[in-house]
Amino acid sequence: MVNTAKKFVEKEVAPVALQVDETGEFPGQLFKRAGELGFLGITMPEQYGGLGLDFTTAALIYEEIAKSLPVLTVNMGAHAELAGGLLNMLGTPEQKEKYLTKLCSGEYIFACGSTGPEGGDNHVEHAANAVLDGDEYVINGNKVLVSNIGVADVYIIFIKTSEVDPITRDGISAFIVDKNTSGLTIGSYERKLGWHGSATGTISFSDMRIPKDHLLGPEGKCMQATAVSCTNEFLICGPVGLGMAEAAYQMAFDYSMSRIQHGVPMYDRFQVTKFKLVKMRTMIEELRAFVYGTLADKDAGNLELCEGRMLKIRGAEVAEEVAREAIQIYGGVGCIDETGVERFWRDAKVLAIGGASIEALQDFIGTMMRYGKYPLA
Amino acid sequence: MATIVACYKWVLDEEDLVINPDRSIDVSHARGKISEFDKSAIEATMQVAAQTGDATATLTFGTPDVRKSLKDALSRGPATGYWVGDAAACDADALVTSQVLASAIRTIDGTSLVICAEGASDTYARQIAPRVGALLDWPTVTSVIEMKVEGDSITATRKLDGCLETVTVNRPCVIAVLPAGYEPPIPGLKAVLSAGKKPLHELGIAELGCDPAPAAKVLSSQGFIANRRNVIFVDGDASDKVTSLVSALKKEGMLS
Repeated sequence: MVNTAKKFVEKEVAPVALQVDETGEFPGQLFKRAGELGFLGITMPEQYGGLGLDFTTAALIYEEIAKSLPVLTVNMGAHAELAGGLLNMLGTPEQKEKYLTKLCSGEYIFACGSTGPEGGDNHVEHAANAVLDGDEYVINGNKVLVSNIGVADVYIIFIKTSEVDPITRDGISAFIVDKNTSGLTIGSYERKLGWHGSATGTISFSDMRIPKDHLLGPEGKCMQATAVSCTNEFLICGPVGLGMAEAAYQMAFDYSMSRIQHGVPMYDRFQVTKFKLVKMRTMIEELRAFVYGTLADKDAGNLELCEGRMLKIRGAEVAEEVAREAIQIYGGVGCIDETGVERFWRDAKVLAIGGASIEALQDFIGTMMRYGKYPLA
Repeated sequence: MATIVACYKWVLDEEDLVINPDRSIDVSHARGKISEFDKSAIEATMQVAAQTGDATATLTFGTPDVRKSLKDALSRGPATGYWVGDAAACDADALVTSQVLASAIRTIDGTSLVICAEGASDTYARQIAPRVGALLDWPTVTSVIEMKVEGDSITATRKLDGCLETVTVNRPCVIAVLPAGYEPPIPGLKAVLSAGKKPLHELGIAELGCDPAPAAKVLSSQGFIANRRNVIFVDGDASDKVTSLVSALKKEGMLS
């Protein structure tokens, strides 16, 4: 399994990774190949074209890809973990047959719109709303910072269908929206610090009418499933951060061995270089143990929601620090984009915010701790 | 139903080989893999089977370690795996290997086409296909980059020095392919998963009636170390630099 990912990365991803970062274009051909190779339905049921495998396997694949082109894991995560997770948990058999099979094969690209321009991830404050009119819902409003827009064939969106309960979040419904739906407007791509190629932007709904049977799950009660699919995406951020950190570390190590200073490799000349690399490596091995220990819990059905969030926090932190130190070891050359190491720091910075910021995740964990929901074992 | 058999060799991964300062070769950390060229033979098998609808199988002869290769081989498409695992394979020469393979092929029902690589990525001796063909008394076509199959007739394009040659041959036959034209795709995860469920058949050297004693023995192996001259031609324009490079190569005896 991992060899398949390694070969894919070596032969197809690595040769174009810098180009994707430079142009910012969605890597459509790589995404298609990811579908052909089975990477888009790893944890999905075999009945709908998935492989029915565990999250540890998915993590190993994501880790390999993140070593070369982190943004491809962002494209895949929004598609397979967020949208796919919701379809799998909430979809009717007919919806799964129609959409989940094409999600697993990559025939359809999916996007997931959750964040509102008002209130961020606090759906209570969101203005976007849906009103049932006969056999159709009429939807108005916006979703911002949505990945895979423009290239997506299908959007899963979260929209208020009644007043939202601030505790249970009841009142939010999920809908399946086909790309050609009248009233759906796709905004332009945001220019970002990192994740170039994620096709991120705003989608707007203006009297957008969608059939009643495009409601995903029970009306007003999608947030429990959303919490699970978000946790799955947070879990994947752990191995993604790990892969990015490994790539930046390896580049820095190789550079320190090949860069001659005072007649010897920089690694041998400067104790500080060695110590930096040892610290980077230690953080990587700590993260690896945390990632695969937590995923073993997930696969055994023993995952704590807090730990899923911690994995994203730690994955982003380690990737950011290791990539920053890698640039430092390179010196001035590390600041040149052609070198290819600085993009890992830019992507790590976005990983610390995109999908859910470290602070938002800490707030959730802190609340769980405050009310005794996450006691020490 | 006719069967197409792809033969492959389990070799040491050349990227894991270490050349010691005394030019001895350290293989202690080398992992095994299917010879890169042989992956093209398997791909050619699948492409021909897509034209004919024939059954497909893989066949390999190696040390007992070769069992590790079966899942990778079958993830590339063939339906059945045949293997001969024997410690004697470690010292087997081309004669022994081809005798074992030919004997094994005789046991596979309906075999009408055997596809090998032109050579393996470790020795590239180019002997197996012609020898297997001779032992089976089947025609052999080597250096093939393209095949079209109509019934029992195969029209093959051979890539030779300076020209392409088109030949026809009737099955049963042995074909040796070059990697060009048969780029092996990366097996998808579904193919990897299903490979573990495909039927395997282990064959023994004794039951095949083969003598594993090699006629040719390897006495020693020494690594090749490239010595760089570290000469950079900087004077003049591009044309002058090329002229200087050619002169230097002639002086070294590399060009005549």
